[in-house]
Amino acid sequence: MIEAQLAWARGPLFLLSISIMILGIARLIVLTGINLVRAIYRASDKKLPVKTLIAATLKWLFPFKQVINQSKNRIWYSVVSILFHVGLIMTPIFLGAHILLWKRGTGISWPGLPNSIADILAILTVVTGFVLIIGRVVNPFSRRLSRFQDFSLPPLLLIPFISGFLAMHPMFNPLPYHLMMLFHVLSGDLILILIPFTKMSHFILLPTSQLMSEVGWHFPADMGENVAITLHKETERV
Amino acid sequence: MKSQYSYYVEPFELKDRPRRFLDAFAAIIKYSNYGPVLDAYSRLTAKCSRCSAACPIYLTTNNIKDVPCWRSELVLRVYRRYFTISGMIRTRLWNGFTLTDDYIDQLAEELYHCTACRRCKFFCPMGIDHGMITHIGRWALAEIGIVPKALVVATREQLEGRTHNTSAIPLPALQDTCEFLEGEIMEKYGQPVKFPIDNAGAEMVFFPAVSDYLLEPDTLMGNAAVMHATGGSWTIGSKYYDGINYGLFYSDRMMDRIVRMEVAEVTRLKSKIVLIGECGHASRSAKVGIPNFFGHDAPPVINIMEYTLKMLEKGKLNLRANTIKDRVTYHDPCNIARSGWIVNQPREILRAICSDFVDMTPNGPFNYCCGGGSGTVSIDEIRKWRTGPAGKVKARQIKETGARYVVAPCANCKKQLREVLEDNGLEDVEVVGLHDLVIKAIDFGTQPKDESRSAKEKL
Repeated sequence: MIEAQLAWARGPLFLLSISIMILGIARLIVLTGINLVRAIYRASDKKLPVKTLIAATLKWLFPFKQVINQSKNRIWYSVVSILFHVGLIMTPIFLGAHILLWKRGTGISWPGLPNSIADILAILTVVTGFVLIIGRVVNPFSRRLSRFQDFSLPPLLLIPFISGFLAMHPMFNPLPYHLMMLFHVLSGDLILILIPFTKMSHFILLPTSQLMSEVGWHFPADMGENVAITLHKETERV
Repeated sequence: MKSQYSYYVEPFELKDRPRRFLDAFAAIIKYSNYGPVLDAYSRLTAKCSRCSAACPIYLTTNNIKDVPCWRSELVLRVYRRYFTISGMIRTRLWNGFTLTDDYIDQLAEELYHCTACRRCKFFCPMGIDHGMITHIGRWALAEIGIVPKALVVATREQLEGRTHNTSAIPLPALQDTCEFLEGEIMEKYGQPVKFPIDNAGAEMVFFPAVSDYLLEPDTLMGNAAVMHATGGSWTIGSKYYDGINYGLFYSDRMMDRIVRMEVAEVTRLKSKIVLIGECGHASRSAKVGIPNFFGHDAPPVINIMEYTLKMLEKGKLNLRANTIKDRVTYHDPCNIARSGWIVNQPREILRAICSDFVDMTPNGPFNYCCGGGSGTVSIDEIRKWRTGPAGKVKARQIKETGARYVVAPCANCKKQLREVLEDNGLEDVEVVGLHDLVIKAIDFGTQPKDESRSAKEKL
């Protein structure tokens, strides 16, 4: 019974989830692209500080140096967050078992991490993830800043890591293998579906954010006039 | 006068405020490039609150309302609810957020508790420019009549008044001041320095913060002396002589109109270059606004400090080293330093004339705001807030340098820093402009005499 459900979760449901994710991301990329091109086209000052923008973008895509430079600024949070992201990105992509699945399904494969390192990364992700969750809940300011997704996504992200680790290590696993795998796959599917609709989409939008911030300061020349006309304020005194 | 906010506002229409706010917001999003930016920000914001430690105000108050991300969320929430599909669906399903009068009052209060110094942008992993969000929110508020009275009154005089400047200085008074300053320089330095007014065909038209004519005579004397010593071809326009642009602080629509007056004056005088005096926001609004509203035909914008350094490097300006013996530190005005535009120029000039120059930490693009940014310095009724929560960090920074002079090449920063020093028990520190010190160090005797060459060639 559970095996049938697992097969369904790894088969049709996975296909559906990853399709939603890919389509959702494609939509975001297209929308962002259109927005950016349109904004630059409308702006009368089209000169962008390209070098500065590329440097800033790279700085934040690989923020290791940033953390050192800004070491006075919540250093522990930054370090933990980076470790969390490293584990979060590396483990699912470079886990040997996942690569095998990809090879079986699509014929594509790539070199993977040894299982021992994948284990360490998974534990690292879970530990840092818990630290981040605790930080968010315990710090009164972080707690008040947080929305529903800020609380719910980190625990959700940890479920596949915990269940995957337990499934691979039968001696720690309290549940039957297939049941654990079912949790693993279902939570993974849910994450894939949610990526385009939540803040997780930053994994694809982050490279555009510096450019976006710059483009905002480049206005269309007739902006003020048009706003005035729309609001019937063309002749209104200041 | 009573006000429901911490600053005074002129009476505004109370009816239908949420709808009119949204109309204004919609128009702004439609015609500006802020729409896609808000869209990206509302998706990206991760609420990590890493920006909190970057904000000098938060560092002092430790209040959640001063976390940049918290303030930005006030605006992003409105955007998400009314301008995105997911926001509309969510509201239908869960009966979520609605824009109310109370919420608008909250926006009005909180958006003026940010100095829009944009320091937090450097600390946001997502690259969110919280200063821009403050900027957008204030514009929408301004369209429904919620603007600090101090800002709107000055802008009204500048755009529609008789004198066309924010300090309401009539032309005869300006001429008198210039003559007086010329006499003053003659007396102190023995140099026939001129403040040319309406010298058509000059390369550069000079727009200082107009308040300098009232409050910062030394800075203006320094500016004119540098021009005299380097043979710069410059003029002050009689029709429009104000660099101040409060539009940058509350409405891009006003910024547009003010910038157009600057360019019109440059065109009238058949000049080529907009020369901005020692003023942060005047420099930024011209540097950003002029190419934005005039495209490729826009006259180039330079700041007087850029000019002075160019002349110094070319050997056109001789400065006596070690003229200033006291310890000097430099305050970076956010509007010119944050983008990295003017960071090293003033430091090189200062190193050329001072024997004891020390930098604050942090400095340059990472500097702390003086606490009076984004027009708050003009709002006298919030002085307690400005010199307390907003200015404490700066006061501590200045104290740590042990400097005798703080050089702040910005009319707003100067006023604010003087108040900060006064209210924080640092009366013995003096706030000066860069050119106040430069004039003391100019060696007029060895100036090359080739005044016929145009300033542009030298630039």
